[in-house]
Amino acid sequence: MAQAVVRDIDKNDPGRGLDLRKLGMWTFLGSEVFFFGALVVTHLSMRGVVAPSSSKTNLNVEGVRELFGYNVLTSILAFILLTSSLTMVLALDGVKTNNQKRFRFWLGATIACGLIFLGGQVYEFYHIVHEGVTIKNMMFGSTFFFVTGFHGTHVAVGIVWLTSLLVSAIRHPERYNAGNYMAVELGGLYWHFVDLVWVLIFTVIYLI
Amino acid sequence: MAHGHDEHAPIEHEAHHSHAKLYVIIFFILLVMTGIEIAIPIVNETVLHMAKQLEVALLLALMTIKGAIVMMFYMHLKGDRRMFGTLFVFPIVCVLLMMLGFFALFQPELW
Repeated sequence: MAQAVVRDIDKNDPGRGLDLRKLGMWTFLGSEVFFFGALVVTHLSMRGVVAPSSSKTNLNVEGVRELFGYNVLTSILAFILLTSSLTMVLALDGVKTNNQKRFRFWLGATIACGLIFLGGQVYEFYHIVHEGVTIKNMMFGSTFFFVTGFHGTHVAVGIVWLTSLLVSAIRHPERYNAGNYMAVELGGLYWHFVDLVWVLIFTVIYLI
Repeated sequence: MAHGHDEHAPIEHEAHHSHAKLYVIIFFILLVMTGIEIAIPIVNETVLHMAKQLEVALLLALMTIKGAIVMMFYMHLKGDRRMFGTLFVFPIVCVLLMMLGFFALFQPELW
């Protein structure tokens, strides 16, 4: 009887051996690619439009290019997010090797990197607004703040997600282990995606 | 790559082999590539004076390689189910093509 039930479950396995949580996550991330792609492409088509509509600024195309061109802060932010990808994958490696201490340490480091990144982005926004580019006064500013703001929002969501994992791991030691790490892996996939989007934004918006 | 089990799985599972060294090596590769990316516009402006199109092509190529490395090694697409890769890579290819099209349409000076 029990074997028959098991056979039926296997036969009707809707995931055909795939982990549906992971499949759902990858599908979600695929849809996010379209989402960010559309935003970045919109910025590409609007980046030349810098003429202020209600001008408090004297920025012209060259001025805006200089403002958004290579600068130390965005390079540091890129380095921090890249580092957070390493710490995240080391956290997953820690839980897979049943090393709870390493898992929690690297997960905490990932959250710290995320917070530093957000702080840097807030500072950058403040600086850019101070220079006269706002979300309202030119299309360049509108699309720039929209793309980077949405990315920042994703970082914030990732921080909340990873913090909940860390709190859960501290409150229930051994909850995540070599046999049960899917929650950590899904959080990691999301975090690496956020890093991947920054790879795109950093190149297309800041370097090109 | 192995898959995580259920929420109530017993905790005495055999630990996996650690890949920490590989991840650190990948990190340094990504770091060097990012450094090259940052250097390209500066070196081009001051020393090389390459055509802007070549600079953009180099930057886009480096970006694509960096993204592929993150996906393969940090997101574990290398060695995971092919379906996951298809679900994720297909939209990326669409977006890259769309981006090249928009570069051609709206940034003709870069083309």
